[in-house]
Amino acid sequence: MAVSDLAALVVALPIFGSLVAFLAALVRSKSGWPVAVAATAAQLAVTVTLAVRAFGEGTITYVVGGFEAPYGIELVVDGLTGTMLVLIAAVSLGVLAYARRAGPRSNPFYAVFMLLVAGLTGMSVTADLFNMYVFLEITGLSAYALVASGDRGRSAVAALKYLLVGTVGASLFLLGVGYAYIDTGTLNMADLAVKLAANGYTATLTQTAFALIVVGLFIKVAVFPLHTWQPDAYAGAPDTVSGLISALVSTVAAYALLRVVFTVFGTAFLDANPFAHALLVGGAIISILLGSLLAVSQSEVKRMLAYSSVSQFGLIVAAISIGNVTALTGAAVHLVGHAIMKGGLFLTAGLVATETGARSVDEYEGLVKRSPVGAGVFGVLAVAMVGVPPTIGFAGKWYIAVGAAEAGSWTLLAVIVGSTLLTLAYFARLVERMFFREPTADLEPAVERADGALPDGGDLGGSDPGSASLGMYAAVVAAAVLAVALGFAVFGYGDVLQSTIEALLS
Amino acid sequence: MDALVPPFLPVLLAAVVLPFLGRRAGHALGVLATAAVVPYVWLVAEGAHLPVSLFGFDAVLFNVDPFSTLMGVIFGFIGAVGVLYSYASDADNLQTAFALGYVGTSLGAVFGGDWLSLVFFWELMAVTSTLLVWHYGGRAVRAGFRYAVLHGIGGTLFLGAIVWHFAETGTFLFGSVPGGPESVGLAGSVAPVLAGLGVGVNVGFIGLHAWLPDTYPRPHIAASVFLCVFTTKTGVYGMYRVFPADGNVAVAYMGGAMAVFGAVMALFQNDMRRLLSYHIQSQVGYMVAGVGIGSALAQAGAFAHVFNHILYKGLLFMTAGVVIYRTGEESLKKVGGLAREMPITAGAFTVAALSIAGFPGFNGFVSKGIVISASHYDFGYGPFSVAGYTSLEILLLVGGVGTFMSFIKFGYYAFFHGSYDGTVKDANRGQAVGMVAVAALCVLYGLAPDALFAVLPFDVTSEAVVSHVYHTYTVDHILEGVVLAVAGLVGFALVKRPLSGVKYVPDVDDVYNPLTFRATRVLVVGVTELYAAVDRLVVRAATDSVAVVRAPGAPRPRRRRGPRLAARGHQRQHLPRRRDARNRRRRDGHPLSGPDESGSVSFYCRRKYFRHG
Amino acid sequence: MTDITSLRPLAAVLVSAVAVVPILASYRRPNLREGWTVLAAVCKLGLVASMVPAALRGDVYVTKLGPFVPYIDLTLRADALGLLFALVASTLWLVTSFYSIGYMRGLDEHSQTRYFAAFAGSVSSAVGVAFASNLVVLYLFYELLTVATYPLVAHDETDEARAAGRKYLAYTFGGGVAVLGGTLLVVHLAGTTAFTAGGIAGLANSDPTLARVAFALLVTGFGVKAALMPLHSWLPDAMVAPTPVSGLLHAVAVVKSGVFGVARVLLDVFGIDLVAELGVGGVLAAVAAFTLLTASVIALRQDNLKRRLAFSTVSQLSYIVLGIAVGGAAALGTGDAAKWALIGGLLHIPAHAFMKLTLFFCAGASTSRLTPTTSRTWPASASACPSRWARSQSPQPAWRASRWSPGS
Repeated sequence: MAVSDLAALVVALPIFGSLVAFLAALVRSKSGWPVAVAATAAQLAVTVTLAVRAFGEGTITYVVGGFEAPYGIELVVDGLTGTMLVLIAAVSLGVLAYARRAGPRSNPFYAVFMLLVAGLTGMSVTADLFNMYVFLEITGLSAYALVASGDRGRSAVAALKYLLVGTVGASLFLLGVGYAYIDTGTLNMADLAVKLAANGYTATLTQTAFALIVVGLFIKVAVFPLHTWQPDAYAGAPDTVSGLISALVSTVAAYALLRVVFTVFGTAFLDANPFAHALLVGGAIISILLGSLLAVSQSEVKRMLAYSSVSQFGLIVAAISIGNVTALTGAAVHLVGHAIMKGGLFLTAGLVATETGARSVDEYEGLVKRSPVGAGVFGVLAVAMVGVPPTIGFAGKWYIAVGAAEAGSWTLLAVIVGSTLLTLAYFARLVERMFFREPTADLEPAVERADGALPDGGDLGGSDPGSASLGMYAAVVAAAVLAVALGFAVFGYGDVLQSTIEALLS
Repeated sequence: MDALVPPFLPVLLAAVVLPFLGRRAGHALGVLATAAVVPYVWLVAEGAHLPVSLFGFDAVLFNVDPFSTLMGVIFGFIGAVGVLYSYASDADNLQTAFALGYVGTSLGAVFGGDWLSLVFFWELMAVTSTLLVWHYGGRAVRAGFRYAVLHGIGGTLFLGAIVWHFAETGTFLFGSVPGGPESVGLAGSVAPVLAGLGVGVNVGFIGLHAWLPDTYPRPHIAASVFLCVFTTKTGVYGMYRVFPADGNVAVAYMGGAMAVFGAVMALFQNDMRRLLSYHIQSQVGYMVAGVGIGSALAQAGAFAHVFNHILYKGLLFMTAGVVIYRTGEESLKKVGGLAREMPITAGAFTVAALSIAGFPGFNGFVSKGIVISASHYDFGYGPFSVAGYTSLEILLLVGGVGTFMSFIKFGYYAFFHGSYDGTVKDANRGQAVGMVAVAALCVLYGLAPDALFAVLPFDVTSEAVVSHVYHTYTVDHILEGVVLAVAGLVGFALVKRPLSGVKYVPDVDDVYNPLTFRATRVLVVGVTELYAAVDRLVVRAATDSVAVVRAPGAPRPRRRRGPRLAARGHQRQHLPRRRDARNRRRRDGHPLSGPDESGSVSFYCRRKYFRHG
Repeated sequence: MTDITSLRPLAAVLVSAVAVVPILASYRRPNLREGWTVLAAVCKLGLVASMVPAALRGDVYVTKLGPFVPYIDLTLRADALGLLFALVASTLWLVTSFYSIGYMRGLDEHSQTRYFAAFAGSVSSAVGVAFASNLVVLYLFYELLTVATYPLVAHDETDEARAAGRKYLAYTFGGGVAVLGGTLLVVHLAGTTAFTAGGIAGLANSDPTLARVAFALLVTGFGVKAALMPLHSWLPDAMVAPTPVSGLLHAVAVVKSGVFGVARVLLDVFGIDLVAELGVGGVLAAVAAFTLLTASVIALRQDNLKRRLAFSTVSQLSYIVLGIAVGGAAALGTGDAAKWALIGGLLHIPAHAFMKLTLFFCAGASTSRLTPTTSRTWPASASACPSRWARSQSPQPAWRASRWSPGS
């Protein structure tokens, strides 16, 4: 099998896994988990191979069905794609380790889970704009389903809201793709780039296409004020699901934004259209500031984390708006870092809820006495999120900030650097409560469970309800360790990514 | 003799080990260490010096010139007598250790060959003397506080002058020391003024003098003996170093004014040691005048007066100390007729009083004569000269009359007036030995002035050196001394009655202590409150903005002052505290209020620190 | 001056950070736990001290760990200035360790494991600050120091302690943000932040306005921990921490890291010549002088002993900053003046460390021995432990004692 075939395999494998998981239920119930693990492990192996090749030997291209671009669908794996692929597989595996005890445990869940992986992977590898839309929808639909897999009414409402808003986003994206197609007659990204340039960047059609696509993706990324689906979805979903989608869905959407802005439209477009640039800069600044402020005002931990994502993705959008090598490297680093940190935080929040029943900020008081691992990991990840060196949170922020300085965007620089304090504002509340207050007396995990408030599939099986599994601990601890350790690997990564970014910007 | 060991070293070592020795052994060591200084510095050849590096600067720890030698000899001698007196007056080891530290640092100051080591020891003198005062406790403590503050200010001014000098010349060395700058004294125009004021605190310039009568009457009687010697005389020495060449007219007149002012103020005093303290100012006035005139004759006279003054003023404080020691009374009004009860003390007092007043035949007559002679021959006539007497000379002569009057008062009330009820023992053996030894020297130097001239930096009997050769016993001089004495007697007889009605004469500190108190209070309270207000404002702004973010539009309850960032909807019940210890520690010694603790006025602002007693 | 490549600087930084693990692990056995602390402190002091001879020769131990982020190497350099700070911190840590054991046990404090672990982490960060070879590594340890000391400030877990902790975080992270911003500007202007004796060459040729902004940001950032007014307000509040923390961290390690940062910025980033040329040294000197006086005045009114010492710290730190700033302001003037000002300022780092730590130890010893009812009546303590009081007074102008001296 040629290396390029692997590019197709990474999309096919999770779809196949999804089918198997679905069908395995016919044979034996609760067999979804091993299937999903096996598929994801294989997926991880394949993606790592791909990424190594992509970094080592340059971009890998695969043409679906032998139809050459620009007519056929092309799959392209460059350094950035490789990064996303490995990230998706690795985070999925981590979440799976967590999910074994935490649930939900039904086979359909794992089938949808794998479908989401497939959608995300597809969005990453595709070099075709319409194909990207398809995968965007697959991602979206499976995400709605996963959010709804909690058995509470709240999950359903959240999923519905997510569905409505998400569909608007996807539709806008589709509209934009349509305009671009009308404009150029092609859907292949590389080809689009050439033809759009030929048409001139100030053509109304081109501008409209850009605006629609970017706003559509803003919704998916959850940029303020288009973020409204996100807190509900994250907070309403089961802990496992919020861990997964918070780590990956917005991340891949942001990746798609980056891909579209630079591969399709290019820096020259941004230079020619100040409004387009202003759209990105404005979205970034508003997201960073208001996301943080909203995060401060939350009383529920998962909602707070969700708003934190709004703010953090503002940073990514900022990096995209800056659009030089350093800033985009920073975007890549921060995408990875944020996925690990935020996914870890959501999983930790779930772990804490499992152990103690604590879900609100106030209930976290004195957490360190009741859930030392949870509090410790939460603390480390919070510090990383704030951007204290040498964690990955710092590295990403540093790259983006250096990029802003290089580009002379002083306003953005100030906002980026200042965002540290805003991040601190909402995490310090929690850290203080966790470590420096007495536990509140009226909170018992068992009580919460008796209410049926536990958001897993309701399928508690024979396991001890009050305890967390080794897998759950391993997943969150691994996230904490990675958040610190990856900080030291960033320079090497930035080095190998450089050629990809330069190609992207050329 | 190799000058490798600076003289302060053995004295300071003795001070360090003294608290760990027995009383007798410790004091013996103290006497030995200080007494050894006398022959040592006398024998070290002039010009010997010990260059060192102090804080990375060139410095000279042991610099021998005639001025230093004179100071060293007399400091060592009076130090030994003082330790002996301390031993006899029941001073404990720690106090004597502080006193030795004081002696040692003074020796360090006068043997320093550069400004840096001078000011280094200068500040240490202030510290050790403060400790010496404080050690007595009681009323001495607050006086010691004021003493420390004032000397802190003076030392700082002096330090500023020296730094200024360093910036001008790039070296701290004295001009007379090898490697020193071309010019002598302090360079520039500002440095001498700063230094004059700074040193002026030590020598008791009028207006800066109030610490003298405030502090010296309060500590242990033996401590007073040390105090009356070192600070002011080192001050005179420092004044000479600041104005070594041609003196300074203003300083000279200040000296004259001090001589009069101190003597007049002394006349009003009833507390024995307070009276003597004012006389320190008066006598130091003669020395300052000598330094201010600046001629060889005047400087020789000033240092001769330093030498003599240390002897008789030490002796006066010793006799006053014995009276207090035996009677327990501090006031002249409570004692009387003691001459019959304590003849040795009375005899020593008489010698000392005649010396200080400058009666012919006693050492004060010699040195005061030199200064007055210099003021006559080497100084301008000034604004109010009369009949060939220069203005300064008149001031010094008037001061002499005042001195006679006040010592006649002291002697009259303490020893001769009335009779004492009951029996009082005379000085004990140790005290007596010390007093007699010093008294003998007073007489010796008075009768054989050549012995005194031998230690002076300039030979006052050589025409090559001084403008006007000084002869001690001329008819004019003796007549002058006798006239002053008679004037003093007559004067005392005239003012005796009105004087006995005077209770308390206010001094400048009665003005500046409350003024300092109020000004400091305004400053401290103002700054603190301003700071607290700004801090409250910032904290409130932060708190409010957080509250706005957390619950937009919700009515914000006014919370108590304090940076509580988290406004919670419901207050949760906290678990009972686990350990009492935590509560306990929270109560004591931990900041309980928010940004600033401004509820109570701190001790600094309490008025008592600026009041007498 | 030669560089000696060695792992010693890294080991000196890490030894106490590594010790955090066994300290946490042996939480059930206090004696063993404290054993780890002492062991780490001895090792740390030994490692730091072992580099002193080389520094005196003029050689520098360097640990190179490769690049960290673009333009920035993760390198530790134990040069003379850094070694001065590291030696002070590690020496005093050893002393403070013993004191802490007595203090914490004497008061039967809670969460002692957390306390000792955070303490070890803080000292690691402080030595890291000392050995940082460029602004980013300095920033790294500067922030870690904040994180590691926060648990110590909030240790008491009272409302006051938590409020102090919040204030501490807000101020110091705010400072960190300014440092980060300044660092970014320096990277932008010079392409490097590596400390260079006499200043980074690239800065001298850059836009003076931006250079001034970078300087202002950096000095403001480090000025927070150096407690320059008006950025000092966290320090008195942080006195709610246990006394050894106030002593070692808030009079030595943390505040000196700020001062040290200012020194690095003036000496090794901008260089005093450039500072003089930009005219910023005088401004900094003015701020320092203002702080020096105002803090002393405020200190006069603090009845709480530790708060008073805190304001004294604010004032004393400004001596250091003043010395450095005057060195910068005077660089173009007479040659020696700058040198003496710098030496004086830097010499005050260890000098103040020893003085203030002694004072805090005495304050803490009195606190731990006093019964609660006598907290307002200090004379009891003065007569109960006079030798301690004597020591407490000795390094300061002695009139401070007057209030408590017998018979007053």
